[in-house]
Amino acid sequence: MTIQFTLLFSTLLALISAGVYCYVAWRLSKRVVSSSEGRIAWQSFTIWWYGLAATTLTGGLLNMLGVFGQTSLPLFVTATYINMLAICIALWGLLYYLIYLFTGNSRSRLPLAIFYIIYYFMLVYYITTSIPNDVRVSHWNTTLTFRAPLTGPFFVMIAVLLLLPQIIGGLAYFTLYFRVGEVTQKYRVLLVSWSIIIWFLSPLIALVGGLAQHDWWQLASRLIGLAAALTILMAYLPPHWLKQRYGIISLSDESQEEQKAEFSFSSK
Amino acid sequence: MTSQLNSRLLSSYRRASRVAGGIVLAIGLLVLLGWLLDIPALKSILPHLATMKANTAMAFVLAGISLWLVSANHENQRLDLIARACATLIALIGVLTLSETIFSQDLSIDQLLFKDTIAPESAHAGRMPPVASLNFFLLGFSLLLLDRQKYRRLVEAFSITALLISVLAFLGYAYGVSSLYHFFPYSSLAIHTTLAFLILCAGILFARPEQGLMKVFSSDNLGGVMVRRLMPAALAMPFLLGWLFLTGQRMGLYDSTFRLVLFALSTVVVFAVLIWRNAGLLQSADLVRQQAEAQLGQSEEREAAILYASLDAVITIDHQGRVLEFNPAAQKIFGYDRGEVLGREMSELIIPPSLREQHRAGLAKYLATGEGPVLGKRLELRGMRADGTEFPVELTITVIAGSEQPIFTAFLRDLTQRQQAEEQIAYQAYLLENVNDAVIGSDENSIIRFWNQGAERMFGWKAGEVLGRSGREILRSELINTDLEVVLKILAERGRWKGESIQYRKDGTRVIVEASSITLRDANGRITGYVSVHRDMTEHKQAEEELRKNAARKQALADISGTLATVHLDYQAVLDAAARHTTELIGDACSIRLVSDDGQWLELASLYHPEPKTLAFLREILGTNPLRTDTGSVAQIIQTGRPMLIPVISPEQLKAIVPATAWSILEHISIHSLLTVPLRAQGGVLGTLTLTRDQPDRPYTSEDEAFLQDLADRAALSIANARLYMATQQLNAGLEQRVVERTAALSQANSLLQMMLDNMPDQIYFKDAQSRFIRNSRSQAKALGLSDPAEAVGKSDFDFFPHAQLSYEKEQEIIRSGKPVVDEEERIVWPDGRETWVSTTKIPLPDQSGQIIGTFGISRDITERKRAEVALQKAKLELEAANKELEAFSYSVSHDLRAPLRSIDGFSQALLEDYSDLLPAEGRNFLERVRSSAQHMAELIDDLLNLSKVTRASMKLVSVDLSQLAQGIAAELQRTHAERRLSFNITPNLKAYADPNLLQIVLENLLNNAWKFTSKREQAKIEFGSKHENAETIYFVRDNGAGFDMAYANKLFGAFQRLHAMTEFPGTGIGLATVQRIINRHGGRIWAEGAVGQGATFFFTLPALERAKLKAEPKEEVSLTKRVKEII
Repeated sequence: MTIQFTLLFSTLLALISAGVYCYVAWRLSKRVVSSSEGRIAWQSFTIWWYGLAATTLTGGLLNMLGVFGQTSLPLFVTATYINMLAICIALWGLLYYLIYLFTGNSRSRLPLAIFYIIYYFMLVYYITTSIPNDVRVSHWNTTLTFRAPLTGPFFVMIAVLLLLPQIIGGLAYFTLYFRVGEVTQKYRVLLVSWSIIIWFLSPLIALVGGLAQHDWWQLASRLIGLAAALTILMAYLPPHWLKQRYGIISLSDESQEEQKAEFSFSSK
Repeated sequence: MTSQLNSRLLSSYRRASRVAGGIVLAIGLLVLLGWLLDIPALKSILPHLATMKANTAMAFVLAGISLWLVSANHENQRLDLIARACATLIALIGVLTLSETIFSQDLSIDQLLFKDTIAPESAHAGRMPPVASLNFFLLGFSLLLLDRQKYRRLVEAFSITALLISVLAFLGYAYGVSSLYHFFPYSSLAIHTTLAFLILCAGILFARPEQGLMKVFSSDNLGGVMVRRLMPAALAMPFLLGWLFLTGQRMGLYDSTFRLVLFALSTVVVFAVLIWRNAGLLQSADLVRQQAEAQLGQSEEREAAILYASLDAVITIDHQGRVLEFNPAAQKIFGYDRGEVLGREMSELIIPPSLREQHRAGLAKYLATGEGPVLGKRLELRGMRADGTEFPVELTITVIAGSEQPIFTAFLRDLTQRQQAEEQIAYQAYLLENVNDAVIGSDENSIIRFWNQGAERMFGWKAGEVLGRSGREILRSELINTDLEVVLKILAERGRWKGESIQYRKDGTRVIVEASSITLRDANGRITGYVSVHRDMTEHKQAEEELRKNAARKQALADISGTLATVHLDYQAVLDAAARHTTELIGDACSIRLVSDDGQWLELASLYHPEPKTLAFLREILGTNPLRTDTGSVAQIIQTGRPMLIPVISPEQLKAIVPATAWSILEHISIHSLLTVPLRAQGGVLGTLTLTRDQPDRPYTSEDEAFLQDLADRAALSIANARLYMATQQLNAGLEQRVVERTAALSQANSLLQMMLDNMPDQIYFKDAQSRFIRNSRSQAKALGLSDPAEAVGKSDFDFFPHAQLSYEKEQEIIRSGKPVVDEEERIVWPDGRETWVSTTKIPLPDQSGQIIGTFGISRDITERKRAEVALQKAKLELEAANKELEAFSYSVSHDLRAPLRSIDGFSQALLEDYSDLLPAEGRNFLERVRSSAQHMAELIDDLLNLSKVTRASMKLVSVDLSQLAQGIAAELQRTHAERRLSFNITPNLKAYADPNLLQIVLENLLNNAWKFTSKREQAKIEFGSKHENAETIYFVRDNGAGFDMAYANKLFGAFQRLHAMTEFPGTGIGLATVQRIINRHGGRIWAEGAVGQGATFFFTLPALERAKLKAEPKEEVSLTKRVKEII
């Protein structure tokens, strides 16, 4: 058996990315949010990261199977269905967070859930009707191949539904940059919004421009994802020099400030 | 006849209807998805079949929603509205599409949702078949009118019509007969359209299963059972059998004749079996019914017999409360004939008006809920006879709920007699128990059989303790003036006896009773027992004795009071009289002690003993031994005001309560009983009155104590009166002295006041409540044109001033409110025509009790001051106008001067450049000087213009970053003078709310000055910063340059003022004047500190910044701020 080192590298990268996403999710979940609605929105945001970690981990594990020549079609099809479920849950979390943050409307939770349930079934339907017939091990990833090609208006619609809400949400999020006053908030809005926008815009561009069919795109998209995660991590846990220079506060500083405030309050 | 509906079935049908709605909705959505995504399988199921059009699918979506909503058991008007809106849309789609077909018009609605190419099965692209549009029209109206009872039949007709059309199409598909679903060319009904219609029609019919035709499906009657059993078979079996045999024929298994035979045979068999089974069911049900009827007949006969013979009233009513049965006992009890009550409402007949509503409410509740809390219970309540009289009845109600409507039977028993008897017994028992007398019943052997509460109270024995025991043993009677044998004989002969006896209580004490006994006999005259009534006479006897004693004492008290009254003003005589009378009445010796003036001692005030020798001895001993008020038993008497009685006192006890100093007395006198009472008057204790008894056999009693206290109180009152009389005498003498002194003081104060009123330049006056002068100062009298202040008394402002109303109202307000008016300036026109300004203060004038009785006022003439103010204001206005004029003049002069200066400088330069060779060196030098002077003057003019501009320029206040401005100026200075070694220290982020252009001028001037005056420093330093003092921000520019002498600090900001020589530090001397003017325009201050050779610091403030902070608060939404803070 010949092991493809590019694939192994891609697998490793996926596992690292999953680890980073997971760490981001864990770190964000530690934040104490006082209002119940805000807490739910923040939990949704952490769900996004956990979901992303789950789907990236699944992708990495499938790649690993590909590395070792284990290409069972039923296994890959099942994993794809599960992966899609994780993606839908994660997207629901992200979109709800963005909508709540921008509008303050917490009633969008259920309609969004219904939307993504329908979307999930559309995905399943599409995959099923495209008839997966084989598992292809390429240089950078291991994927399913389908008897019917993954093109056409339905495919475009699915891709748009997958990416466009997040891009719009990210742009709306970015407009908050002009409405917030504190430098920390501006910093976070800037980094998080553009990470999300670039993250979701890049596959759309790749799809339209035909880049997605290239092998290297898999690696590039993975790197973009990893960079986005690291950027968002940096948004909430900025490096020391940034804190020194611009007075930006990290999540851990926030909790310390809150503890100090509580202490001073109780001391009175 | 009404049928009974099965609630479980009703619920199931409604649920099924809702499910039907959901299925139709799902079909519609799936087909729409098919159109959206171009999935043929969703549009036409199979490739060769007709497609369901997008409009059809949309109509099914709407129909599904409408059916779902109308089937749901809700009371939400909004949802109802949605359901109706959907139904209306369906009907509209149907009507419009139908009209398109009928009138061959294209309304462009067929492809509203999706584009459709011309399909071979459709006349027009995207248009639903006419049959489908007809069905939607019918079903839309059905859904719309579903809850309209008036249109119920129409709804059913529409639904069934649509159902038949759909069944027809379905049969066409099932049997392969295309003409059944392919009604017209290009107008096939799709297979899933057909199915959806079938489900929709059934759903609509079952949406209201309790109404119309569907009611029979929900019935629990035999009809309902039969229809539920037979209808599915009748609908399904022929269809299934027909399809089965047709398929067999098509497969070539048999020909059409054989298929018909098979169909007929199987139909016969199937229906025969069905009918057989259901006939068996009907037979069983009929048998059960016959048995029930037979039993019912017997039961009715039995019931009739029971009803007729019953002693209780039995009344049967229906669910509306109308009387169905009224038995003879009921007629007798209530006074009605059966014929007149049957069919009438029972509550109007036999229930009192106060209970009727309760009865009706209970009946209504049972009918609504099936709950009847009184059913089966025995109740006691009031009934009403035909004549309107009310009486107690016992009631039990049963219900027969098996029929369609329940029937109630009431069993009533007249409780009048029983209740009267019970009340009588209860009344008698109550009387017997609660009489004060002791009632004792005993048998012929005197064994106690009855012992009432009065006996318990009188003798102390509880009934449980004495019942069954001998009365002689318990009571131990001592008959007065007779004996037991005689009494028993009298009782045996006469049957009753009455007399007095002494009996003993449980605790052994005696009780004198008046006893009254009677003999009880049986039918044979044999004695069976006795009943005795005992009345306690003890208190009666004691009261008689008490009455006698009280009479004697009242007489004695009256005598003593009379004596005390005659001597009331002679203090010692009162005391002596009290001691003597007391001793004569109840004592052997009496001493009266009074509390000393300092309150510490009880001093002997009076003493009496009938024996002169003893009296002398006691006086000598007691008089020299005063008692302390704070120790021993005396202290207790004085502090509590309560008497002390020691009926029998031993020598030891006596020593315990007598101070040791008085023990010697005790050896010479004998005291066997002691009674001391306080002398109480005016809420205090004046002293004590003590009685002692010489003989041992007559101790003092509590009666003596009460009597003595009464006597002591009277004596104390006399003592207090006597003291008061003496004190009054002394007080009168003191009062007269004080009146003399106060009169002298008042006279002096009055003299001082008069002096002040006569000499004060201010006008002073007192006025009464009606604003009339009481007193005035001489100055005011003079101003009013009077020669003597007294002439103004009794007059008011109205007598001197024609317009005094305002002044009067103000004074009345002061009197009403009690609030003074201080330093009010007013213009006054005096009676002689003079006009003056006065500053007036008026305050309320209270009397000794604090009540306001007038006003007191002082007015000061301020006419001169007022004139000065007016002159000042005028001068200020003139000055401002002159300043403006001067600024305008300066501006125009400066501006106009620039042109000739430019000419002088320009021509001088031209001379130097063009004719330099012709001019001698001195001439060139002069021209250089001319140019230099012209340029300096131009600078001066520029600075003057700037100064003028900053005064005239309009300001636009915005947030200005001063640090940024300073950094820009510093960078420019460093760029133009790169050779200078200088360090700028500028604090970042210094912000102000100011005009940016003017602040630029301020900082340029200050930093340029600092730059200039540090030019001689090797290592120059310039600092721009701020500090906070007294809640304001102070900005400063500091340098280490030449500095200045603080003695000239006030000249720094004047125009053309210079502290250094022009040759040393060039300049115009206008810069700082400009800076000051700008800062002043911002409402700030500027000042400088420095020392010669040690640098200077210029400070300035910009208060506009503080105002701006309030203005510049960000008006963000609170919610957004909160969200951002929480989750960004």
